Amino acid sequence: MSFFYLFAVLAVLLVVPFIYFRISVKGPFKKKTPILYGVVAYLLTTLSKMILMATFLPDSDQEEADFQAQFEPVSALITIVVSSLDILGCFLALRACSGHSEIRIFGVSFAWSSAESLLSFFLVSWIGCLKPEFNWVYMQNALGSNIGLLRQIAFTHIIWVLWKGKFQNPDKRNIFVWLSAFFITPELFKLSEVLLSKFFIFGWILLVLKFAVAYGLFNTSKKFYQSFEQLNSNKKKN
Amino acid sequence: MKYFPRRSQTILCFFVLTFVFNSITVKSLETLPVFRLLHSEQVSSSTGKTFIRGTTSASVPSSQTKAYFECAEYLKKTPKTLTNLDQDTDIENETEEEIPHNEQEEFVKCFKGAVAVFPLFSLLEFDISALSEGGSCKGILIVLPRDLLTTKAKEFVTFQNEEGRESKEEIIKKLGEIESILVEKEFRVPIYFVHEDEVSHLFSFDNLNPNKKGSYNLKIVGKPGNKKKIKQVSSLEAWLPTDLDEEGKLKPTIVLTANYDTFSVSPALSSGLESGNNAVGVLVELSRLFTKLYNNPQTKGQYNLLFVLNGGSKQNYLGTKKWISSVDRKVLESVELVLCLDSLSIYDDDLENELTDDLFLHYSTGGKIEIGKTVPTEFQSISKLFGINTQIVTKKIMKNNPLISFEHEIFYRKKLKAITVSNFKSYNQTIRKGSLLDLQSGSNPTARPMKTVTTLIAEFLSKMIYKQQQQQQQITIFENNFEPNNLVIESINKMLLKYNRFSPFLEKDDQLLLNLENTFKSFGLDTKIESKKISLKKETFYYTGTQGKLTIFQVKSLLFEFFVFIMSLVYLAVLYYFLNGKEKTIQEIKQLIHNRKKNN
Repeated sequence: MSFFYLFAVLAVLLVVPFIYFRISVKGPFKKKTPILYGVVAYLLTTLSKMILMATFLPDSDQEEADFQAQFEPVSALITIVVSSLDILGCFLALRACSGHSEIRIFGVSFAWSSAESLLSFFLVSWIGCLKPEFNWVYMQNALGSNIGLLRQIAFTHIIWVLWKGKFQNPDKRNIFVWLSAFFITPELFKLSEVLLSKFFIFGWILLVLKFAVAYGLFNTSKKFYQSFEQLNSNKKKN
Repeated sequence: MKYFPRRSQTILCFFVLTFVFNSITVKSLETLPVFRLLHSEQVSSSTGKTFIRGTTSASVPSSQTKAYFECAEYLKKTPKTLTNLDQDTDIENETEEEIPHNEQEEFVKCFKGAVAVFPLFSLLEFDISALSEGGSCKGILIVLPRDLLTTKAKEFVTFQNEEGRESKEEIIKKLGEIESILVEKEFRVPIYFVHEDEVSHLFSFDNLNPNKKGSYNLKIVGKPGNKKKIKQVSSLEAWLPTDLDEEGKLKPTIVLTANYDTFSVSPALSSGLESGNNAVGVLVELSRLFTKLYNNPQTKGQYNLLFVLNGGSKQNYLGTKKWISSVDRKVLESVELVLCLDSLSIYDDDLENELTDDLFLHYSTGGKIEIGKTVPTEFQSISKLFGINTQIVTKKIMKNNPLISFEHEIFYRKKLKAITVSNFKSYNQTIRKGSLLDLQSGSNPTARPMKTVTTLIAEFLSKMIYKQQQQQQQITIFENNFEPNNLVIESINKMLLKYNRFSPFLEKDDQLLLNLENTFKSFGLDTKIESKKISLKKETFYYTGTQGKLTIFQVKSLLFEFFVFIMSLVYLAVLYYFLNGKEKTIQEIKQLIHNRKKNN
């Protein structure tokens, strides 16, 4: 239909991570770039996740309209377990690349989420925005992927803390529990979509909810990271 | 930055790629089948009247319907209250029932550049021929209701007589007139029909405002029409013989004919049954009953029976004419009576305030043979037994007039005794021509039960066939085991409803005829399908391309999308501002300005 919508969607999709990355990372790049490793890690992780899901997920019996999503506890559980493979992927990416800690974290998370948004939404939006019909879905997808970026940054922070930090047991347990929150929230969103669709609340409100949750995750993870940094600097002093 | 190309290059690549991908045509959410107005031309060299005309435009438009929905307010109000709307224009005759002329013009102007979407009943209030000039609108889309005669439909029509509400019959009659206008007047805009069910969540046949707000883009994809002549017309014969007589010649024959084709203003929608061709089911059932009788040598009649189904009835009974010219001479010589079955189940709406259940028996006079009064009066007396009043109508044939009024005239001109049993009193009633609107029959609650008519005709025939019982008291044969089965008739009717039966577009081996042939064969009759080629002096051209797909998009204006684009840029800027921090952003902006000044 018109390119303006397309450009708008793509801009929101791609430029935001770029902005965030450019702002947060000040140091120079080195050879083993976190971005490259991030993208590769994402691809491999998603591939293995899909294979596992295809093997283990039971067939869903119902065929309903798209927005009338159904919630099935068994498949949700399996999805949660399989998506925890993300931890491994992120960890490997962080370990493989080199550079200052901040660069690594931000690089990997930026690469991961942009790869995710590109592969999930880019082509769909391209074709969809050029359709004669105007649909808000594409814009919502783009903003949703921005929120995913936030979530991914929080996630990478936690992984870093888990890896580098030397905590006592109760703390570590806490962090692990917090980590599991990352995987449960997408399923919770699906459930909430089901509930909300019964009240006919779609789209934008869901997006706001997602943002709230992602922001919460982000803040807490940042706090974890800061406390970790403090511990480290204290140790160095000592 | 090493890993990202320069900004300008990326932007350029982006633009190029988007233009490349622009040619992707994508389907939208809703694609619906849509039917096109009959499109044909009659080319005649003599001074005869051109009978069929249609739209001459074969282009396929797509345009917005915004204007229509704004003007929908006009149609909601009755003609009398329309005068309150436009206070500027002078309206002279306030007591006129029709929409005053200058307001009609205003209304027509609404549609300029847009597609006019009409629910069917609104055509009663708005004169559609006002839109016949090219350029008045881009196209007309008529939404047909699923069931014509529901109470909802009656409520919608707010047309007020002096007497009060419109009766159902009036509505049918008026719609029939509208259909004739559609056929006869030349429209320079394409006209399309669509069923209500499929667009029901957008606009229904009585709800004029769309459920979703916004403007719509209607796109119709279909093949442009090609000229097509009627190439052939097929007829199906089923022969039920009796024994040959002592000399080895054929015994006399009774021929029963019916027509299986229809006409409507949109050829692809010609599958209705009400106006003139619901006799097929009756004919088939009669053939079954008589086959049953003839199978038993004790009840075998003294006449051969020939059941014929002809096409081309709406093209001045072309099929019957061709059939006569090609039927076996021996059979033709043995014919004693031809009974033509015309429409048999609806009421006569010519008498406006009366519903008559009468049947009419037509026969012609003024030819070389005389039918005589015995046969018709016998039919009359038998029909009285069944509680149906039959009126006898005679008409003198006019040899110079090529227009055939009823089927029996064709046989009469060939010196055969023929009568027609019909529901219609006169031959030129509008609804007899066939209508778009009789899309489902059999659900008409006022229809006469077909069983009665079938029994009536069967008894009448048996009187002729089994001559011995004629003088005795009235013996009815067709009851209990031999009772006509309504299910058979209904199933045949249901089958007919599924097929488009507009003659010019029927192929040689049409599935419908094959099905009917199989039905006859299953009763045990000898059947034959014949397709005769047609070459007329006056050629009538029909145009193919009678169906297409309608796609309805809900569009937003370009300005809106530009606005969205700007908003997304603002979003990015705001995000940048927040993440960077106030002072830093201001610093960066200042730097940019400084750099520019330096470069300049």
